[in-house]
Amino acid sequence: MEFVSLPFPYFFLVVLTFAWALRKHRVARNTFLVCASGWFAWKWQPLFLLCLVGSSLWNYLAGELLARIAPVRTRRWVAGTAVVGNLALLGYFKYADFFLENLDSLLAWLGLSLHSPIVRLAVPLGVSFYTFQGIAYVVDCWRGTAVRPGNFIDFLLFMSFFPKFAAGPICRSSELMPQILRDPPQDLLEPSRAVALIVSGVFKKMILGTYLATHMVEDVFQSPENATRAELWAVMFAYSAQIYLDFSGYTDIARGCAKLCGFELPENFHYPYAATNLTEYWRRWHMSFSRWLREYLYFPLGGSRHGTLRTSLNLLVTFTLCGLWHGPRWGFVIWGALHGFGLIAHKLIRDRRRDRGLAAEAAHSVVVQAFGWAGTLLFCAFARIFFKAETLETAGTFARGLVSATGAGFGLEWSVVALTLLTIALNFVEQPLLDAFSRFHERVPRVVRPMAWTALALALLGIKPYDVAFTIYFGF
Amino acid sequence: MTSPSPSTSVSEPAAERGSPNALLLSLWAAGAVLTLCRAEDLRDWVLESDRGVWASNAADGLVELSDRTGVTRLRSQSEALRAKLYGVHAAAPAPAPPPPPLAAATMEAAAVLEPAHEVAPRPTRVLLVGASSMQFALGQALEKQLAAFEGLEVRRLGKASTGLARPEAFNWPARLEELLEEHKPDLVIVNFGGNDAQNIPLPNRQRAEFGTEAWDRVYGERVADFVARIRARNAEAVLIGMPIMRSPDFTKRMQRLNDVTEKATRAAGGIYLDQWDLAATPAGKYRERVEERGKSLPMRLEDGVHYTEPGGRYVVARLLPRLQHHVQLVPKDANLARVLH
Repeated sequence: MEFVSLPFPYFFLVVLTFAWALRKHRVARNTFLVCASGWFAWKWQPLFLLCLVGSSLWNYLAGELLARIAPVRTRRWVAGTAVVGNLALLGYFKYADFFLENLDSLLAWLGLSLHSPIVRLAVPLGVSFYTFQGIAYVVDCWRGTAVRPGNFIDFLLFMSFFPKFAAGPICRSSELMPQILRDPPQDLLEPSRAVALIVSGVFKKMILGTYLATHMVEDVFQSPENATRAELWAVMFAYSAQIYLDFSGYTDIARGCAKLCGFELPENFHYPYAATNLTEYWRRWHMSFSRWLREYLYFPLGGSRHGTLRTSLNLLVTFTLCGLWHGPRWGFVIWGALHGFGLIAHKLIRDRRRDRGLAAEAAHSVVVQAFGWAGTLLFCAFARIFFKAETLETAGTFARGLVSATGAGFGLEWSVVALTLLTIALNFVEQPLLDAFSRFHERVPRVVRPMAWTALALALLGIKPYDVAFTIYFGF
Repeated sequence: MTSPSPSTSVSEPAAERGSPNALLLSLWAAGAVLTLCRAEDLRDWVLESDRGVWASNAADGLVELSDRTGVTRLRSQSEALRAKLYGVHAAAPAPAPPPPPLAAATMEAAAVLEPAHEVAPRPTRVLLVGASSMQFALGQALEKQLAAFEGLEVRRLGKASTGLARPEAFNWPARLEELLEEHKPDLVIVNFGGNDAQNIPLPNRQRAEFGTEAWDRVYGERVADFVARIRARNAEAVLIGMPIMRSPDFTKRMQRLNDVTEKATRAAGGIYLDQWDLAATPAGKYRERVEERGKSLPMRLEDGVHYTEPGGRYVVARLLPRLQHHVQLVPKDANLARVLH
C-alpha cells in the first residue's frame, strides 16, 4: 500500500482513530500500532511480515543478552553474531544472486564452471532499512548507549512502525524508543506542522515526482542512444529532481503521519540541492542513512583519525558500500565510489586550506559558493547516471552522449525542464513555504478545516498526473 | 549564496497543541466528502482488488449517491480541467448518453462482413486504445515492439479507470470516432475489461447486473458496436482479451468478460487475441514472474492486475506473433523476420 494510493487514507484514518482512542493505555496503544503495522506489511506480502518479525526478534534477543552479559569478550561475540545475522538476512535476499552470478562469471573467465543455483527471491520491502536499524540498535546496546524496550511489543513497534518501516527514516533507539516507552501524549503536538508535511509530501511525490517519473526520464534512460545532447542533459538533472521529490515527498508524508499519531521521526532531507559542496550534500541527503554510515561504518573503520591515506580509504570503502546497499548492481557501486572519490577530493581541499591557516569551513565569497553549488549539483546528477541506468553499457552510452550524442531525439519536453528547475528552486524556499503554510493553517478556524482540507485534497487530485509512479526507494 | 543549513535551528511554529477528537472528527468529515467525490475511483479499486459482492454493491450505491447529489457532474468538470492541463481528451462535462445499443440486426450485419485479415492490406497506421493496461506497460510495450515493423506509424491513447461499462464517465465510442477521424488508422488494437466487470446502469434507473445474461447482452452489444465503428472505417479491429488475475474472484469475472468480448468481437468481424495463457503458468495458475535476459523479474505490479514493464514486454513479444496470423506485419530487421516466421 503506497502512501499516495486510494486505500492508504482509509487505513490511516482508522489507525489514527484507534491510536488516539487508546491514548490512556500505553500498552494497548502500542499493541494496536504493532498490529496495524503488521497488517500494513502483510498487505504487501506475508513474507515481508515474516522477515520483519524474524529480524525484530533476532535483534531484540541480542539486545537482551547484551544487557545481561558482563564479560567484554562474550558481549563482543554476541554483538558480532547479531550483526552478522542481520547482514546474512540482507545478503540472502538482496545479494545472493549478484554474488553467485559474479562468481560464475569469474570462474568462467578462469576457465572453470560452477553453474551456481540462482535463488531469485523477492526482496522483502523495507529489509534494507529495518536491518540497518537493527544493526544500529545492537551496536548501541554493545556500546551501552541504546534505549532498551520494556518488552518485545515495544521493540516490534520500534522496528515496524508503519510510516517508516518501508523506506525509513532509519531511527536510533534514542530517538524513537523513549516515545514508545512514555505514556502517549493526550494532545496532538503541532497538528498544523503535520498537515503541512503531508501536503508538502503529497505535492512533491504525487504531482511533481510522478510527472517527472513518467515524462522523458524512463524513455531516455532506456535508450540513450536515441536521445539528443539537450535531452540527455535535461534528463540527467530531471532524474535527480525526480528522486529527490519521490523520496523526500515520501519522507514528509511519513513524518506527517507519524506526527499525527503522536510520534516524531527524524528529518531525512534538508534541502540537499542547496548544498555548496559534497560533504554538505551528504549532511542533507538521506540524513538518517548517511548518519548510520558515519557512526556504524566510517567511525569503526577508523574515521579520520589515522592520517590522510587511511581516511581516504575509509571514505572510499564507506561510500562504495553505500552504493552497494542500494542493490546488487555495479552501477550502484560506481555511483558510491564516485561519491567516495568526490568526498576525498573535498576533504583534501579542506585539509589544504587548514594547513594554510584558513578555517576549513570559513565562509566563501558568493561567487565561490555559486561555483561550489553548481559543481555539487552537476557532480551528483552525473553520478546518478550510473545509479539509474540498468546496465553499465547504457550508463556509458548516456555519459558519452552528453558530449557527442547523435540520436534523432524523443522531443525535449519543456515542462520537464521547468519542473526540474522548480525542484531545485524548492530547495531554497521550501522551508519558508512550509512554515508559512503551518502558520496559515493554525489560523484557520477548526470548524472550517474539514472544508479546507477537502478543497485542498480535491485541488491536488485535480492536478494529479494520470500516470502512476512507484516509490523508488521501496526497491532498495 | 544563502541556503538553509541543517545545523541552524528549524523555525518550527511554537508548539501548537490540538485536541485529537476535534482533529479526528474533522478528518472523518473531510474523508466522507472526499469519498463521495472519488466514488468512481473507489468502485474501480473495489472491483480490481475484488473485495466481494457486498463491497461491490456498496461502491455502486456510493456512485449512485454521487450521481444523485450532483458530485459526479462536478467531478467530470474537474476531470475536464485536468485533462486540459495534461493535454488528454476526457469526458465532456455533462454526462454523455450511452452509445446506442447495437441492435441484433446490426450485429448480424457486422457478422456477415468478411474476416478483416482476408481483405485488409498491410497496415501502415496503428491506433492503440484502452484503459490502464494500454496506458502503461502493455500499451508501452506494444508501441515499442510495433516500432520494429516496417512502415508502421503507431498512436496510443490509454486512459486508466475507463472501459465500455460506464460511458458517462468516459465516452469511448465518441472518443474512438474522433481518433479514427484524426489518425485514419488501418489497424486498431483495443484492450478493455479490467474496469468493466461491474453492473451497467441502464435508462430508467435500471441496471444490468454483472454475471447475468442481461449484462452479457448489453456488454456484448457495446463491444460489437466498438468493433463495427472501427470496421466501418475499413480498419482492422483487434481486441485483446484480459489476462488471468491474482484474485480468484476477479479471475472468474475476467473469464466471463473475455467470453462475451470474444463472441461479440468475432460476430462483428473483429479479431480476438487471447493473452490468458501468456500471463498464466503452464498449470494455468496466476504467473508471478517472467524471465528476461536471464533474470527473474516480477510480471505484475503489486495490485496483481497490471503488468510490470518486463511483464508487458514479455506478453507483447508473444502476442505479436499471434497478431501476425491475422495481420501482415513485416519486420524491419531481417533477422527478426527469420525468427518470427
